[in-house]
Amino acid sequence: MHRLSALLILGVGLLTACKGNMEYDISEGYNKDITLFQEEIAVPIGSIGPLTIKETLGGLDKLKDFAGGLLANYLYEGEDGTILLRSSGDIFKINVYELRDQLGESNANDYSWNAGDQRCQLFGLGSILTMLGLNSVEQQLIISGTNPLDTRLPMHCQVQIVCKNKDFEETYSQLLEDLSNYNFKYNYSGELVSVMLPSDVSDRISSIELKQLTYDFPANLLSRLYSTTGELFLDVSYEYINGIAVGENFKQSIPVNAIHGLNVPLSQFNLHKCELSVEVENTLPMAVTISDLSVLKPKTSEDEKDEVDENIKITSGITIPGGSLEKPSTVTLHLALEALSGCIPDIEGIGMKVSLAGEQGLGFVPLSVHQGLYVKSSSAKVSGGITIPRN
Amino acid sequence: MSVGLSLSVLTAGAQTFQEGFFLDGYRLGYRYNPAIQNENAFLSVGQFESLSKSNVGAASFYYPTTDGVVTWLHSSIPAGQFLRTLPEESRTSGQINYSLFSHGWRRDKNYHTIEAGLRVVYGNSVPKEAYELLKIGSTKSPYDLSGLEVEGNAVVELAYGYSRRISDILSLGFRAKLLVGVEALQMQASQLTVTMNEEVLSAEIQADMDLTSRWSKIRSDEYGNLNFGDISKKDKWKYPPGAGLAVDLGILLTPVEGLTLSASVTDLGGLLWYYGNAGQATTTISFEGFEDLSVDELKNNGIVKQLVQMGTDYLGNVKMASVEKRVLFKQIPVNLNLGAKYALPFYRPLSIGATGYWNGFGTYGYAEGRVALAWNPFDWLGLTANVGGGTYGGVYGYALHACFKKFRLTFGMNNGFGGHMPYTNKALKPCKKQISVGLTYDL
Repeated sequence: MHRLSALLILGVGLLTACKGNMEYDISEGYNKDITLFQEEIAVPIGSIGPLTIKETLGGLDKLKDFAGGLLANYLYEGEDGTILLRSSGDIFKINVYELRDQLGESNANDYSWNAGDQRCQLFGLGSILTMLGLNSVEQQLIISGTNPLDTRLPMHCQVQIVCKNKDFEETYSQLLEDLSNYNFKYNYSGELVSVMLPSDVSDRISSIELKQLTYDFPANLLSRLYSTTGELFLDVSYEYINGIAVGENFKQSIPVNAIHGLNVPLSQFNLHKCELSVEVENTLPMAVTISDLSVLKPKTSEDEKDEVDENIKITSGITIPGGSLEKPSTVTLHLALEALSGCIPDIEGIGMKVSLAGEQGLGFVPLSVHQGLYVKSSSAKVSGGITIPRN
Repeated sequence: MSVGLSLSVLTAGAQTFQEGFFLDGYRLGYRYNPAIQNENAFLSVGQFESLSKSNVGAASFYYPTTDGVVTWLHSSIPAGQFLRTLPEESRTSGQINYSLFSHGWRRDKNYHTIEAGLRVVYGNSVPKEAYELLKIGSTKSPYDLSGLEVEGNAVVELAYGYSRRISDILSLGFRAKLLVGVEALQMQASQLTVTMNEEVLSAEIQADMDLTSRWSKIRSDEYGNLNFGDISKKDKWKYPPGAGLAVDLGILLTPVEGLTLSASVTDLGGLLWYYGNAGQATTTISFEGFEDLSVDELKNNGIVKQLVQMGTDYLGNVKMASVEKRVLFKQIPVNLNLGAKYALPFYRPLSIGATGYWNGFGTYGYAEGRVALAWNPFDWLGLTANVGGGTYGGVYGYALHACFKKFRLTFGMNNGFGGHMPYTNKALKPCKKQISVGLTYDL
C-alpha cells in the first residue's frame, strides 16, 4: 500500500510538470502566414523586346491608323524598313489622237511641237507633315515618260523643282537640264531622270514644272505608232518618294490616358514597395516622356470615371531620350511603386500621359519600322518582403 | 571503390543515463560505466531510451503574439530578433535505443553482461545563412550554405561486458561492442553558395549522397546520373552494409565508505559503411534574366509563370552523377563520464553527488555538469534528482526506480530548463533531452 501511494504521488507530480508553456500552444492551429525576404529581394528579369514599330505596333497599319486620312494612303515601307511617303502623278499627258488633231496639217512633215510650260502642283501632304511636326528627308524625284512611237522621239525641256515651306514661301528651287536634249527610245515607258534633293532641304516639293516642253515629231505621227492597241499616250509623269523625319521641333501627345485590363495580382503578396530598374535603348528619333503616372482604382462598371488610387505612389515621370538605328540612346530608369499605407493592391489600370518630342542635336532622322525601344536589361527589387499566398 | 573518413553530425549521446548512477536498484549501470557491478544476476527484456539534442529551440521558430502563435517567417517577427536566437549551425540529432535483451551474472569478483539492441540515429545540420536567406533576402548575398546535411543510420549492437573487482576499493571494466550496420543515409552539401542580386541568381552546388541499402540499387540513366525512379530490388543479400567495433572502458573507486567515484569512456570506435548507392552533384545554376521577352510573354502574369517554369527547369537539371561505391569509416561520438556520490553518514539512504559528461568529437561537443541528490530508502524504491549546467544552459533530471516482486521498473528523464511546447515534445530552448524506461528482472 505504501509503495502504491508513493508511486501515485510521484506520477501526479510528473504529469503536472509535463504540461508545457501554454503561450506556445499550437494544438488548435497556428498562423501559417509566410513572408519571405523581409528586407529585400532583387532578381534579374532580363531583356525585353525589341519593341519596334513593326513588331509591337503591327507595322505600318497601326501607324496609318494613327496618321489617318490622306497621309495613310501614301505611307509605305521601303526595302530597308524606312517609312516612306510615295506619291505619283502626271505632269503632262496627251492622247496621240488628240495630239494629231492639235498638230493638224503641220504633221505632214517632221515638226517640233512646243507644249508650253507644263506644271503640276504637289501639296496637301506637305501641310499634313508640317502639322504633325514631321519633315521630309531623302527626297527623291523620278521623272518618267512614255513614247508610244516606233521611232526615237527627241524631247526638250527644263525641269523646275520648287519646294515651299508651311507658309508657302519658296525655300528651294532646282532647275534640271537633264531633259534639255533628251532622246526618247522607241516604244519606251520608264524613267527619264532621277534626282535626290540635297539633304538639307526639309520642305517638300510643291511643284514640278516642265519649261517649254518641246517634242520633235516625225511626219505622220499616227503612222509611227508602235502599236495601235497598246500605249496611246505621250506623257511625262513623276514619282516622288521621301522619308519622314522627326525634327527637333517635333512635339506630339499620344492619346493614351489610361490602360485598363492589366490584372496584375499583387495584393496576394502583401508588397509594400517595388522598384524596377531598366536599361532602355531607344532607336526612335524622339524622346518619349511618360508623365502623370498613377495607379487607377478598379472600375465597377464601364461608364465609371477613372479614379486615381492616392494611396499608391508611383514614379512621377520618365523620359527616354531619342536616338537612331546607327546611334541608339541608352538610359537607365528607376521606377518605384510604393503603398503609403498597407500593401500594394491588385493593379487593374494605370493612368499616364505619353508625349513625344524631337531629340535635340540629332538632326533629321528618318523614321523606320525597325526603330523602337529595347530593354537591354532589367531587374526588380521588392522591399518589405513577399507574402506567399496560402493557396 | 573509394574509401574515406567521414565525420558525422550525429552527436547524440549513447546510453548516458547518468541518473542510474545514483539509483541503488538500477541494474543497467554498466552502460554508464562498465566497471559497475550488480550483486545479483538479472535479465532485461525491453529497455527503451530516447535521446535528442538540439542547439536551437522551438522558441526560435514559434512566437506567441496577440493574434496567436506565428512562425519565424511571419511578417511581424523582425529578422534581427529571430536571427539572434540561432547558432552558426543549427544541429539537431536524435537517437532511439532499444535493448532487445540483456543479461548479467556474477562469477566471484567478476561480473559479466551480454546485450543485444538496436540503435537508430538521425540528425541534420542547417547553416544559419540558410535562414538568413529566407528571412532577409538578397541584402547579404552571397550566402554560404555549405554544411547543409541530413544523416541517419540504424545499427544492431551486440555487446559483451566484463567487470572485475580488483580490490575492495577498485573495480575495472570494459564492454566490447560488435556493431552491425543495417542501413545508412547521408546527404551533404559540401559547397552551396547562393548569390541573389539584380544581375544574377545563382547557386554553386557540390553535394554528395550516400545510401547503403543492400536491398536495392538505384540505377543510372544513359548519362550516368542516378535515376531515382528506377530502383532495382534484390531478393537476398549476403552481407550487412556496415560493420564496426566500439569499446567502453571504466574505473570505479570506493576509497572510503559511502563514497563512490566513477570515470568511464564509452563508444570508442566506429563503423565501416559500404554505400552501394553513391552520387555526387557538381553544378552551377545561374540565371541572369530572360532573353528578349516578348510583349505576349509579359501579359497575364507571364513573368511569374516564366520564373516558375525556369525554376522547375533549373532544378530538374541538378542531376546526381553516379559515382563509384564508397566505403566510409564513421567514427561514433565518444562519451566521457565522471561521477561521484557520497552516502551521508548520518542517513545512508540519502546521498549527494555530482556528474560530468562530455559527448562528441572535435569541435562538435556537448558538455554538462550536475549536482545530484538521491534517496534510496528501500530496496524497492529509489529517487534521484539533479540540476546543473550544460553547453545549452541549465539542465535538470530525475529518475525513479521501483521494484515489485523482483521486477524492477526504472523511469528517468533529463532535460534542459526553458519549458516546452504544450502537447508536443519540442523544447523551447536548446537542450539535450533524454527519456529512459526499462524493466529488469532479478534472477
